[in-house]
Amino acid sequence: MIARTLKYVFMLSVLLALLGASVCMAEIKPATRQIPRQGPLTEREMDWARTAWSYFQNNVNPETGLAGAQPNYSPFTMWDLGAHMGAILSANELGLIDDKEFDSRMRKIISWLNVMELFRGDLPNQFYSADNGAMVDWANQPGALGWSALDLGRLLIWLRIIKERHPEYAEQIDRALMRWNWTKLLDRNGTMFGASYYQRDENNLIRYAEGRLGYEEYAARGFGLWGADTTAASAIHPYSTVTVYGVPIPFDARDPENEHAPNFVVTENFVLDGIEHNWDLPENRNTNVYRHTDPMQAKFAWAVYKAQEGRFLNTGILTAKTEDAVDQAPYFVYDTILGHGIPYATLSHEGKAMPELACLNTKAALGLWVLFKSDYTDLLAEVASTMFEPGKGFYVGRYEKTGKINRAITMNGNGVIMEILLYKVQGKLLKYSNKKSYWDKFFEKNSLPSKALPPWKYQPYITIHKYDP
Amino acid sequence: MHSSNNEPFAYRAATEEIKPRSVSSSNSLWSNDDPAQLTDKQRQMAASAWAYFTRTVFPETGLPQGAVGSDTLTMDNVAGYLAALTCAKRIGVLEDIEFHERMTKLVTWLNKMQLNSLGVPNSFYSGRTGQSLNGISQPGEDGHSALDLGRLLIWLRIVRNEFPTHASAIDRAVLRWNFRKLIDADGLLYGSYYRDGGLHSYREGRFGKLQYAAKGFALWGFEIAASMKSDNTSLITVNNILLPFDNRYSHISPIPRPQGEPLQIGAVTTAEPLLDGLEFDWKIPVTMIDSGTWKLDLKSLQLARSTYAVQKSRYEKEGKLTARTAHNLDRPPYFVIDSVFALGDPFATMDKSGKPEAGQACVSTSAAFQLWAMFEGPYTDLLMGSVETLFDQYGGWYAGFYEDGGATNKAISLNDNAVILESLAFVLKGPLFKTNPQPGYFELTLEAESFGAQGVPASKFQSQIQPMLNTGKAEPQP
Repeated sequence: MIARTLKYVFMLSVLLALLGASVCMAEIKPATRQIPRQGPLTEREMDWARTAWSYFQNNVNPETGLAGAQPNYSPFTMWDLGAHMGAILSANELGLIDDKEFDSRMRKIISWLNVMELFRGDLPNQFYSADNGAMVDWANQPGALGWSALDLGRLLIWLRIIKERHPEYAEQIDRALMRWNWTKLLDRNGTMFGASYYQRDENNLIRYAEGRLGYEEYAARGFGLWGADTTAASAIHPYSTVTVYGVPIPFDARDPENEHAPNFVVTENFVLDGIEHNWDLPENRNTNVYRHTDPMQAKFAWAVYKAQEGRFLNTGILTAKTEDAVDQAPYFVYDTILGHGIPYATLSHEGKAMPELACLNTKAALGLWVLFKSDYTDLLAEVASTMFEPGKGFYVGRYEKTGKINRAITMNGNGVIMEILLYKVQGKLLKYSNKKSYWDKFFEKNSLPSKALPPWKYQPYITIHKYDP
Repeated sequence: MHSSNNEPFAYRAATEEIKPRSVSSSNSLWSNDDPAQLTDKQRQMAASAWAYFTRTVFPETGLPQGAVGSDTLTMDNVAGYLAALTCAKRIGVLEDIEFHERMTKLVTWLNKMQLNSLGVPNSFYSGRTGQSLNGISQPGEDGHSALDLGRLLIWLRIVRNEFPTHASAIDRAVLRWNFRKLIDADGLLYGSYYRDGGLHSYREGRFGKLQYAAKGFALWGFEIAASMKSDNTSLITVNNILLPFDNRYSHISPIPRPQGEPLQIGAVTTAEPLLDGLEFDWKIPVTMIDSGTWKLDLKSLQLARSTYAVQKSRYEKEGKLTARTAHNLDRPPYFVIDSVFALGDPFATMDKSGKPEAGQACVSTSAAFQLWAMFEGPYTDLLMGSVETLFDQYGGWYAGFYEDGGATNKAISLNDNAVILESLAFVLKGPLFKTNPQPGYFELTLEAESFGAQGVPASKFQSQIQPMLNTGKAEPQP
């Protein structure tokens, strides 16, 4: 009798299991664990890499070796330049270009870094032109604007990655950084400072603590990698959370001090921190993609992912949001997970709501896809991988409301996608060579006090004044 | 034992062992038909260097350009072309038929080229027309360089020993020269310069270059003992490593010097000491009576070791990749001497007149290849890694990259590419000079005939050749 009951129970459970399996095929299950995608690229993913790389085949100026931020738009920022270098490295490692082409592209950029005009002789300007490598404003007119510490932070990260992987460029990279005046960048507490002319008045340069939760920690990694003390910038406090679909979304609890430090929560910085640093502290040699020595950042990234997955599961809107370009005015929006306290807000630079410009963003979708293996990100990649113009690169994304393609194509977006694919093959992108470079050897005996170099020696004495005519 | 980095007397002689790279063959007792081969990548490197010569040779004259975009050709360049032909053939990137076709044209020209009024090959020729040129690139004469001719004699001898087809024509070409104007009774070398409508001789050659060039004369039977003595050398410490250098005074402005007389800087660079190693394994090509062998040239060997050790130490101390030699530039002043040590300064860079050009310092491609071939180790691996992509898609290796900024120095010169081919041929087959005891046209003719006016055979006439300058031989000449 008992045996007979057991038999029924067994058959029933087999039936249920079969039923369960068939249901699962159609159903998107929420991710429960953070599993990165790792392994060689499939043929389809190689096609993605080729598509992203085509941006750089088409848009690099052969004379200067530089590329504009978008096709037919020559200005680019130091953030974009970091993406450009990342794309070159990825193309080489993925086998799209040979060593010779890698070298000729990389060498042009590094030698330009050694001769570029600096803003007031101090630091790289906000924009340069790919036409001639000169300082420009956003309209490609000659102009000095100030600098962005966030952009420089990302550039520092990529210079370090290149230098560690290719020691033959180390000396020139180190020299380029010794040109910078570090007294203007970081104060004694480790806060990063950017600067701009107030209303373009050359007698009124304002300096501001730049970066809010997310971007600030990401850029601070770059400064940390070169030996700076970034205590204040790397601290996550003060922060708070807003819970959406059961997910606590962290945001910077400081009042937005000015328009230079918006505290929006977006995807890109968490993705970049994950693929480049594996959410590890600077100089940490850990390469295990399941272990993170800065676990709070990994947790924040997970929350940002879960909030977007939660929105899809609850509303059916495919969500992968980050700040990016759009193909219509105002040409750039902060497409946020949390902006000014509103979940999934889409805001212009001035904070005006622009819900019609909300996008499913390609680089964010693929970033989530590689860092968080799940049913939902499979779906994201399916959609994102169709949004490209053959031979030109990936589009920025697709409008949530209309489903129309956002036809902007950006250097940063395509560069980030190349990095993402390299991460799938290699894991954490910052690999240490354990070699002492020109930088280390130079500062063993020398110092450049007027530039506050080395930072570990001079930073405790730096005070940055907010106004600096 | 106690020592410290800051201890001023903690210097040491460079003791770096010479560790030449060479490809191994899978030759064994059971299979002996599998000779050593360069890797595909190395063959590709050789092909890129050889491509310079397919790109720059003028079909009318068979002569190459001294650098891409320049028609001017020195005797050093002609030697480089001979070296490139020979090495490309040994490596296997040049077919037999093409080799002989090119060699025939070159040797024919050597037999009919216009010599200067002293009866030796002029300093400059036009690759396009084959005519000799004066200092402003017009047909005429400008003097000669015994150092260039020494290198030419080395390579003429190597080709002659290896290819009987061209041997007698080469011997005839050498028999045209007037050696009385090139070398004296004791074996010191003389160049000449043009001034006031005529050519004037001067003692030429500083430590390193002099010994290398003199070996070329020894190969053709001349006594070179005085050149090998190198009594004008001192040692200086760079990064606490002893580096020998020529201590003779160089005239530097504002001290007046006769116009037109070339300044001899006597810089320590990578090229000559390592060419000596690549070609002769630092031996003096004078057969010792008692043992029948060649003696080791200890001074040149020490120079080569120190040159390497000092450059490596600069990387270890300061993180600056260093591989230095004289090289062309893709911007004014178009040529600099990039030294390990010159005119009292370590790692000085200057133009031919001694003017400092610190911003033009480069990591030289050819110097990197030479160091890589002769000293196997992580430092030279890194050097090679930094230059291995610096070749032009149309043929030829770039001169290198600027230390300041890392931009590619896109000058492409004959010498760099010839030296690269020599380095790769050395990796394949060891020292490049091959002896051939068989007497050729040169020796057989001189047994029966003599050319007293030209100072050959040397065994008969060299003791009569007087120094052309009436100053004492031991005195340095500007």
